[in-house]
Amino acid sequence: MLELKEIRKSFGQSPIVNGISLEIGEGEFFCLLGPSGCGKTTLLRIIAGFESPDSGSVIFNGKEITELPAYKRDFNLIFQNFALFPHLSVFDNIAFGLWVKGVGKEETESRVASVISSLSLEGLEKRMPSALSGGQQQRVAVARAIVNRPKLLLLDEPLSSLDKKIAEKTLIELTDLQKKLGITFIYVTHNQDEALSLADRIALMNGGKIVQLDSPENLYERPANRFVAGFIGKMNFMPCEVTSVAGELHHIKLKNGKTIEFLSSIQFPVGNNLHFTVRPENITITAEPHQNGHNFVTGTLRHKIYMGDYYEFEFDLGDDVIFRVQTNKTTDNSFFHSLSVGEVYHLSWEKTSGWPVVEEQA
Amino acid sequence: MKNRLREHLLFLAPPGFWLLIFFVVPLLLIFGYSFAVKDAYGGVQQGFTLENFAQVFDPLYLPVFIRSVVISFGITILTILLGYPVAYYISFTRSKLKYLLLFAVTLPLWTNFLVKVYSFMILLGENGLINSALLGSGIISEPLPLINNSFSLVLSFVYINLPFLIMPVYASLDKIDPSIIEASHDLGASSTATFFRVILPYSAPGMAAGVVFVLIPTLTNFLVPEFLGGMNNYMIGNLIQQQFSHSRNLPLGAAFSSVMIVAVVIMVSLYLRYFNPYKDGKEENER
Repeated sequence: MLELKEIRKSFGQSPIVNGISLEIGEGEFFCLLGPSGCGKTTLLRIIAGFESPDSGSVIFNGKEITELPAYKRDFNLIFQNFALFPHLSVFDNIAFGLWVKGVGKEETESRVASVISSLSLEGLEKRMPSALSGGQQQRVAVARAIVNRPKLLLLDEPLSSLDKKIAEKTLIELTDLQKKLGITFIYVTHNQDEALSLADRIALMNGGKIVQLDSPENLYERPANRFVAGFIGKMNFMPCEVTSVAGELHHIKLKNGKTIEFLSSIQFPVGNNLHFTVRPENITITAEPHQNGHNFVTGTLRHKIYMGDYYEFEFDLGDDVIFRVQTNKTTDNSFFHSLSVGEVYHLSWEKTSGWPVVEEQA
Repeated sequence: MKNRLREHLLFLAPPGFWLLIFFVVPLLLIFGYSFAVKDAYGGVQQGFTLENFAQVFDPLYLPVFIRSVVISFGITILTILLGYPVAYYISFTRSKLKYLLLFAVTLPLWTNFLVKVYSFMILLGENGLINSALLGSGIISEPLPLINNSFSLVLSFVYINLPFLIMPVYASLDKIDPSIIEASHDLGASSTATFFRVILPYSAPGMAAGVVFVLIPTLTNFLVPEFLGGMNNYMIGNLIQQQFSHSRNLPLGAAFSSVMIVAVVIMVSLYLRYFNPYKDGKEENER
């Protein structure tokens, strides 16, 4: 449906978008994720038509639209600050796109009325945007966009200016809306939780490039490199090398000389300069060595943080390796209560969990 | 509540006192004089009369009223047509010259009004700079009629008024969040449609202020028509000034002034009632 080919854009000397190609399918919920300054917003503005790329092309349903001005594109954007027209009422804000397209009065009224009811904005039609709460403004911004029945809805961090509770509620509403309308969504965010929970596919960007384009599950469980592993969720890193591979069984030698085993249907080549990663929630803490043959390391407990529904522990493994462990809630927390800072514990994980990653390429 | 009142008083009392002594009292005096009887020596004698107002509404003066209104409205429209694009350019330009341009707009305000009027006389006069230059270079053989006509009147009025329109319009345009303009494009509005549907309405409060700053002083100005307007552009300001100076008819001058003050108050309040974009009493949305 939408295809980007080798898009490049620089401001002054610094390249912001540095050769991005991707394809987004009909009805897909696609997410551009990355830290600030990674070029995701610029890429979105290129898709919307507010910026034109220095090189590369934007193709929509087989037609090149790289230089088509924004007002001629059948896309709508939901702005980060909503950008409602302050001099127009809620109704007029929503009707704006239909007025300028010359849609008749009756049709305008019925279409506006239907989005007003589907976004539960009834009774606010005559209000000015300044008299609305943040959540209401957000819904007006969504209504103003979808009343035009766009083929593609672009969302620029639409939840970042809402407070957490309203943002969570809106998140659910957005997924429902996308399923209901079947419109392709391109959603820009720096918030990995939003990306993981919303998207069908995520393009994780850094330094103007796509680092990994994958499903949320793969991004979380099979990160392509150290940057991805560190950006998505919490992660523990141990410098290592792969010493031998036999079928699914990999022997991995950690920097401190200890060898661990790793089972994976995807084969990793023998090599060094890797990091073995384990998620904090996949680690089991025991006082004595575990008897089930799991991989384990030992570490000194440095910090113990009680979070209510779980504990967070920080262990020092030596050689500057810090291990964070997150416990799932169990019926009996007395063991975790009893752990004391300064003591050495065994940290183990199953041979199938974990993932070796390379350093990110520059 | 009490503290609030004290705070208001603290901030408002000094200028309020100033306004009372030098604005409200003289205005009341003018109103008082307008019902007085003039004496033979140009002063005022005891008595109460409505005679002065009867004279004000004498059909003899009607053309002057009409001319003043037509000229000041025309000048206001012309000033908007010339000033709005300047304000628009300055507020949307990304040029480094932006603040220099703003400074240039305010530069004429550094000079006294009368000095500017005299400069126009030096520039446009029969033996003025323009005519001598053109005559000297042989382009023309007779001096051009540049002064003491409607041309010089309009030219100087528009020049003097421009900063008073540009500044408030600039101030309102400069507050526009660029994403609002992008939102308009995004919703399918071309640049022209965006201008008329978003930018122009947004700048309405600035325009409203600019119109008041331009229209009212122009309507009652007497220096420009006196020195640059010639014989045929006599305006109300001249009429009033004449009563206070040459004719020595204080009560009639006061009556003219009172009528003008009332007319202006009615005009401005009607104007604000119908064109005030904040008529529902709400402040605009900043972000």
